[in-house]
Amino acid sequence: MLEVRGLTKVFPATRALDGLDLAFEKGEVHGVIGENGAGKSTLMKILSGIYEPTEGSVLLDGQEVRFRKPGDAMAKGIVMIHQELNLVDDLSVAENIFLGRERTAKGLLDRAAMREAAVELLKQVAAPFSPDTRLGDLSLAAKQLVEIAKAISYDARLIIMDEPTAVLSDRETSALFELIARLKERGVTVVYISHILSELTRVCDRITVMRDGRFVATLPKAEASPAWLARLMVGRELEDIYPPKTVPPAGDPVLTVKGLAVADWVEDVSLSLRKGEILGLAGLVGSGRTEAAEAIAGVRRRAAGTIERDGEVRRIRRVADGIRDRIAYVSEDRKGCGLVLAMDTEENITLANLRNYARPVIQRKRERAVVEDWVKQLNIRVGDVRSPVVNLSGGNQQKVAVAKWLDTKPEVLILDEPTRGIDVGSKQEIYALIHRLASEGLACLLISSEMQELIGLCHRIVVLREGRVMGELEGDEMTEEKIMYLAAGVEPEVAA
Amino acid sequence: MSVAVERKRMPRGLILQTYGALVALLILFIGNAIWQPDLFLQPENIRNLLNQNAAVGILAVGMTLVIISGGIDLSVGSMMALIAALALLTINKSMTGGGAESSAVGMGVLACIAAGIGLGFVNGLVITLGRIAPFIATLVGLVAFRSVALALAEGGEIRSASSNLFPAIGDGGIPLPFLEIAPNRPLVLTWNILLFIAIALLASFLLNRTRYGRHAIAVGANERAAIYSGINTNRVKVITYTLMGFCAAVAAIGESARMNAVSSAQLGLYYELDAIAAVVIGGTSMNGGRGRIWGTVVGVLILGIITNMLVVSGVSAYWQGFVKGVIILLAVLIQRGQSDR
Amino acid sequence: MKRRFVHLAVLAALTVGVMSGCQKTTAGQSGSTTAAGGSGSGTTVNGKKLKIGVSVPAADHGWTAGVIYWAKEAMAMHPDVEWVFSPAQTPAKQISDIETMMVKKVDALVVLATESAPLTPTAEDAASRGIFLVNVDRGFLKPVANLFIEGDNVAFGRKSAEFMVQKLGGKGKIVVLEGIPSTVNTDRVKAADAVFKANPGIEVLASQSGMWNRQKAMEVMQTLLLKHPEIDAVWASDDDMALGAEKAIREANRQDKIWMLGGAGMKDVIKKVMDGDKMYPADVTYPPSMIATGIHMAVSALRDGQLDKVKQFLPKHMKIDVELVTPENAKDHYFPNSVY
Repeated sequence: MLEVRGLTKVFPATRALDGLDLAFEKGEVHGVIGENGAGKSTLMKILSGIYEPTEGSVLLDGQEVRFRKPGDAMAKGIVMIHQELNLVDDLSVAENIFLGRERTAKGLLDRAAMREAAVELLKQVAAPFSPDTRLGDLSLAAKQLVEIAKAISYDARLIIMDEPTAVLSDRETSALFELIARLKERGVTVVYISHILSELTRVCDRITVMRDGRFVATLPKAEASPAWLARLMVGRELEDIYPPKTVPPAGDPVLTVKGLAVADWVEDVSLSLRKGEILGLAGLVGSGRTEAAEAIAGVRRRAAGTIERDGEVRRIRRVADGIRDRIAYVSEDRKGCGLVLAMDTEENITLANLRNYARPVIQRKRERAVVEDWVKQLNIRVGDVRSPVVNLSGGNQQKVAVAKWLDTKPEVLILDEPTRGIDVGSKQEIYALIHRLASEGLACLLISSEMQELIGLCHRIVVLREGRVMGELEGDEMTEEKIMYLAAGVEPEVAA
Repeated sequence: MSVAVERKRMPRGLILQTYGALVALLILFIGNAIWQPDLFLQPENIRNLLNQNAAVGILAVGMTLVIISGGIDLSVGSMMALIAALALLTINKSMTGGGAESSAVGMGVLACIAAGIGLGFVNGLVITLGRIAPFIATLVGLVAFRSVALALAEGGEIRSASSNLFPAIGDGGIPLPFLEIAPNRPLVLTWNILLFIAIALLASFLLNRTRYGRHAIAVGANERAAIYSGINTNRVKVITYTLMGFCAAVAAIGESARMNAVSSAQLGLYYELDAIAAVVIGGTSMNGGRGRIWGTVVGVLILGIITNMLVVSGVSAYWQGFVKGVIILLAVLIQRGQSDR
Repeated sequence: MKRRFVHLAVLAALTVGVMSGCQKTTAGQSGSTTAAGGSGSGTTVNGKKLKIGVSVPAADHGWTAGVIYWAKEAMAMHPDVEWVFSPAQTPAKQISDIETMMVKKVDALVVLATESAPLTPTAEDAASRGIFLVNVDRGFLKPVANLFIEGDNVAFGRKSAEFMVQKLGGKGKIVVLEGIPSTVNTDRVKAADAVFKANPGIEVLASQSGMWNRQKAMEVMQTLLLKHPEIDAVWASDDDMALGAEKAIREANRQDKIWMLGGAGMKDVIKKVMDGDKMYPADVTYPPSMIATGIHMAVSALRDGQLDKVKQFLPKHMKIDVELVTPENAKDHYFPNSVY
């Protein structure tokens, strides 16, 4: 139904697509995977009309088409649902669905008609909320449903979903998959981009692997195993993803948190962390993990509780206090809070620790030397340390963020979703890094929504639910079932 | 796993964006030199060009810091009028009280600088502690400072009692003996021009070589990330507005010394807009986070040359504003066109 | 690296440009271009055309519009002179204009200052370079001009104040509207004040600046009307201001109780005096054409290169007398075709 031939797209800094040939059939769920920088996003942006190709052609039902703006693609029934949802928080669900194509009666807005239509659409996506709800009040998962409803309202023939489950819980993911199945029944083609190999094998009919802007292979569901897919993506052998665990040295804890409370998010959290230990913090979205970590680091205000470092109560009111007490927090939103995208790699890495380089004027040479050292140590793939970090891939950006915090010489490192949105190869590198840091004596607090990650890396896991510690798991106790039970109070869905 | 390092070549479009203002300046300069060689290239004309734009130039340099850090300051023109008035009142009071001219002028200058720093600091506090948007906070200053200046001067002008020392600040400088405007009259490189250059260098140094500069860029580019990195964003902002006040003070001294008087209604009128225009033309983004002092200097010169051109060719003063507006639009369009896609 | 290279290239180009400009002027110095001396016929000096700069305020009120009109008339009378004409809105701009004229090597400058004090340093500079300087109306604070032409502002203030006192019968409450800060304003107001003080029955309720501007005067008058419920007359000192004040007075519906005395002889106001308008019983002349006088004097002083001789008899200070216009003699001062 939709085909690309010899598709090439050149940007000033890189060649994102290089002679790609690919075909999508009507009514199939077609997964697309590849490492970061493989060109998936670029392909989708060309298909949805955001970019124009440098060379090559796009054929719809055998006819060549040129999309100059997203409107062109949408008019032909190709709709993309982005990772960053394009919705307006201050408007209602119905208003968002009809944004830009408001229905009018006699020149004025026909609110009733739009509302009615919205109700219908929401039913199709099994959305539990009303069209009058203010969009900003909905969860990310619900917002996504609104986007899908919007796509359907365009009579979409092909819907592209870019990392849709990145912000969804397991239950919401299942609901999404059901919706995709229903769309398929109606003859809508779904192109599904994701990193999560297990999901792709679950929901897609065929999976295409891309690498370096080129086509590698398209596999039918039956032939696609996560291991094989990973191999194709990376093009090389992958050893075991998680490094073998070491036993942390016994001793007094370096970090002890007692009765931590944060307004609206955290009721009562206590935990302790030893030198060289990797402690996992598990829980559903909204359980208060990030907020607790932010409070420990000094980003967020503490309503109650104490924080002890090496047995001494410390007053941590601002981030600068946290840095002084050798606590580092690598935030989950690297683009929003972690990095200054307009600045370059060098400036970002030294940002939290400039005092070290200013005597009193910033010593550029020293900066450069230290930064190059980090680049080597963490294997950050960057062309020029003086070019803005916005040009780096997600994995490399995350490494820069981690490097920044490591430069403050912390004794406690808090990592919040460090591998979100990162390709397999970089993930592995980050796991190895965490492992190495822990074995060198750094105490790590790891927040993650990927249970496998927690189980693979951590010595212990603390589970939060609604701002409270529900339990602690160690050794063999660390299983998905147990984590899920504590986090949600229910049995997890068994993966197909 | 190897570290991939690719040498990146700067594509043409990027060069235009980064150096567009510089290229424009060069074109203007050469164009004028060809069109009016007897007039434009005369050292006195170039000196006048620099001298007339020095005050706006100094403001623009300070404004660059403010805009880079994510803020804006609309009050500087009015601030100039107010602190210059205070300076002259101090001089006059001291001299009528029997003080020596040198100490009077000294006190006047100090008063001006102290007032500039003080008002800038107040702006900073209102914006950080008061949590009022910079646009609004300095808009208040724009109106309020001018108002106080008018009140102090009763709507008129304040004339300096110092007839030698103070005007010497405005007219004096380093004589260039090899350039003469009349027999035995060397061209003077005025203090105003030297101050402009000095402040530009100082600001550039602050921005690129100190912690404060790095922090200011971070605050402007991504305030959340700056907070998360432990930067005291409030302190950075207050320092920035205080520096702006200092620049306003230097500019005020220069301007009022040139005229040896303060016209309460006219001094500094609309200077803040000229300063902002120069910053924009020079390539600093209004969103904050990226900017160059030398770009602003180029912007000041471009505006200055264009005004000079219009005056020399006899175009009515009323059209100058229109021309300025068109130039600003063009500058922004050219810069923007290169940064997308 | 590339950045540095571009910076250096631009710096080099600019330096070369300035240096070549220097070469030109130092070479040109040998043929000096002072305005005096040398033989030459007509309006040429040393074989070069006479170049005169005229710098006046921009037309922000009727009188200054009249100035510009008369300046252009005068300049048109001497097409053989190269004129450089610049109206300026602010003192800073006027300073820039004059500096540019000096770079253009004018032989003479005719200046009507926007404000007296800020222009004085520049005037000193021009005079020290040997440029023939004519100062019209708003005087510099130092006597640096070769010729200073002004209306007799002291007589202006005195005559108008005396008329007002007489008409009020020595008793009344008045408000004073002042103009732009300058020697002109100071002289007028001081003279008027002296007269008012000498008459104890006259109470000056307030003295505020209307900047010789119709709009501003109206706003000031509005406030004064609110503040002082009883006003008998307004010493407006300028016809534009009088018209502005009239508007405010009519809006407050007090036109039967207040009358005004303007100044400068605007034709509309002269007409009102001629017609016996109750609010305008008189006017005082102050011709904007004095700029033409200044321009004319500058040309005649410099032409034929006879400046040294002319200086022997040219007065440094010329005062133009002002006349009180009443309904009796108004028709002598009414020029309906005039622009002012």
